[in-house]
Amino acid sequence: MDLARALRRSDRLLGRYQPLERLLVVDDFDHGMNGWQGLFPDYDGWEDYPERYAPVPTVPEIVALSRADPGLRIDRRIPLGRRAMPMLSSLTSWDIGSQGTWDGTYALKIPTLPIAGEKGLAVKRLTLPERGKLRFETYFCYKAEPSDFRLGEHDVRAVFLACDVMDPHHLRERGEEPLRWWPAVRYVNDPAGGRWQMMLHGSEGVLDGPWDDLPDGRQDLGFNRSPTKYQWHYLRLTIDLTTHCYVDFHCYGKEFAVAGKRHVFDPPLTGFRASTERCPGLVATIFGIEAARDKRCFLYLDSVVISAEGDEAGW
Amino acid sequence: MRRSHTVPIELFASLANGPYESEPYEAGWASEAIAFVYVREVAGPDPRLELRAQGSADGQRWVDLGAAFPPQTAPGGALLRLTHFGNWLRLVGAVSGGPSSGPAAIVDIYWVFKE
Repeated sequence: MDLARALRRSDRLLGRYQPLERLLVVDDFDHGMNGWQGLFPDYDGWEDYPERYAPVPTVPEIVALSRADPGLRIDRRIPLGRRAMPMLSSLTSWDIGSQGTWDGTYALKIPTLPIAGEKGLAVKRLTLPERGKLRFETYFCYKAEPSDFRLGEHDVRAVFLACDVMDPHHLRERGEEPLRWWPAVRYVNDPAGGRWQMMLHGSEGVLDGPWDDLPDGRQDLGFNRSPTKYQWHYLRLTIDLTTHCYVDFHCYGKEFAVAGKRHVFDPPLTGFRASTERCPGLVATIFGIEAARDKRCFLYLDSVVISAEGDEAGW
Repeated sequence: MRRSHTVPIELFASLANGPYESEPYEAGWASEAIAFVYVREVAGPDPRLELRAQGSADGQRWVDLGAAFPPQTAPGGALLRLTHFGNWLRLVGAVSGGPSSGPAAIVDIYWVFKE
């Protein structure tokens, strides 16, 4: 194990990460999108979430509705709608040119549309047959479009890492009912002071909270004094797939007291939506950013490492 | 093996009469790009979708790349091949001839990039 640790320390990418024993994902965006993608909601029609949405028709049904009502903008209807797509960016701006990343040329750039409240997302769906600790790490920075030459430090409302996690179904063989939960952390870029929040009791949506402030969540991330100078931050979130608890959370030198906290659906989800049907073992990992004003906002990821260790199955 | 990447930039977009701009996209890693436009439906007296490609050094100031789709007036598909586009790309154009209210065209638009 010491040899393994020494080898990782000497690795140009992993040397600045703290992965658990087993590497599941080592994504350096100098080598492509690595499976990170935009989000497109389920589009086969659904009506199982009456607490939040009216029944959502299938895509053919929406198109038929639009024929009957030419004034209906079908792209404004769930699950359709405009969305900004993630891309590989060299962090190129009018003043500096291409800045590149922490260690390379390309970052995963997650943009928003230039509309207040819009979220930009990049998703990677893992399916994990076993359990144990799971750690997400990245180096990230965020900015607003510099087109108005203003700093725009509060044009970004929030950046977040959110997960949709469902237990594998073979738990039933030992008498356990599989659980769905939404571990997530969110940095609120509040003009009164930045702070971290967590999903502890929300059931609005994977990305939608409601979010709980962490008691020790105050943190000022480095935005810089220029709209086009980027400061990279390290982030680490560890969850336990066996106990459905947060294990640790760290950003840029500060460890937050989250061990043992859990996300519980409150109010509880009902029916199919609460279940793990069709998605057993899912760990959908979502990085995102939310615009506070009508400006494009960008979350950049230099690289992402996801690692795991420890359960009775031998991870 | 060369990397490629496909980006759906519009899906079932309902384009009414007026100007159109796609969201900017950075693709400096790619040496070729193809824009695909699929027109699903058209409506109105003389529906017409005109699109052309633009590039930018900074993602803010845009210039024509000299490549344009032929006007799209009926359901179908068309593509536009691009090389030497630098980094930033977008499509711009206009929709005309549609009904006074409602979309003139319902379209899907994709970028397909290759190293």
